Amino acid sequence: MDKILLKPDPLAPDALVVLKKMAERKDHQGFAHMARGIEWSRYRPTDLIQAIDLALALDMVQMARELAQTGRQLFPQNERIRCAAVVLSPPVVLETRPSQTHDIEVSHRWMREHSSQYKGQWVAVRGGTFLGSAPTLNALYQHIGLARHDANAIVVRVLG
Amino acid sequence: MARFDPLLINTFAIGSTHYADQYPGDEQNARIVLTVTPEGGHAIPMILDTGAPWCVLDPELAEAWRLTFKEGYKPTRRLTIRGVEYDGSLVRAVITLQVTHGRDLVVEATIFIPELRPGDAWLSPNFLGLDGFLNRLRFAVDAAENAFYFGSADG
Repeated sequence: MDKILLKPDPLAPDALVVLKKMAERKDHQGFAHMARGIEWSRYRPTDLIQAIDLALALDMVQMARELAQTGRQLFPQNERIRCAAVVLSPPVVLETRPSQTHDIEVSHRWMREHSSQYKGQWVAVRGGTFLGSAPTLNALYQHIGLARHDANAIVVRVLG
Repeated sequence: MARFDPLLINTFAIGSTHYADQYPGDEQNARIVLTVTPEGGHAIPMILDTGAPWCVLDPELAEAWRLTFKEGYKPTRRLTIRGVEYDGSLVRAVITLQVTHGRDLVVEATIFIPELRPGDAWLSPNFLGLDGFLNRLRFAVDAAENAFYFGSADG
């Protein structure tokens, strides 16, 4: 008898098991079909969290976002789902404001010309002027006494 | 002033900024590296990466700027960053995209902060990802003079 391939049924009792298997196979399309079709109100919040995490591991951000929003409606008291829904919500443009920085271009030029001398180190540059370097960020702060909110200072760990 | 500032600022864009075309220490690869300021911190270089879902921040910076203390979501599964799987947390943080002309743009974004094992070092650049940041922006690049034009996709 020929094997009959059935389309996975999101309403089947073992839908969550199938969803996990699809994630293991990296079947993005099948995962999305199943996840969107599952009646999540029949499941526990922890099941939905598992599905969110599976979607994240597959880089399916929109899917994870949808699941988190579904969870927020179904399980409003669940703190972990609430947290996921907040963190996964789309980015929001808050405001525009007058520029607070200067001389980005000359700092870029300094990085281009000199940063290779500091591989693996943290360096700070302001207005194209080298402020200092150190093996750790905290050591850099101590070394150059950089104000924590100096938006004109560019700080970076130079790749090694 | 960049060549297309008069044409694009206040129409398509709210500002333009000069971008570096390599990340410090990675001279072999051409990139678009923007200067941004995450909340609580200094300006840092971040690579524009439309292939990355999240912004990714060096954990040492995140710790120094206390972003690791913010309410975040830690998936039970590891996330893949540049082909390597990492534990870590997703947090919401405010990122300011700095301009050289026009106005700064302030965005609440989602950032992945890798969690390293004791003794491990983070050896990757900082990234600005698509779903966590870029997809609320409209932007254009003039490679002739390393100019990045940007504005809110909503306005």
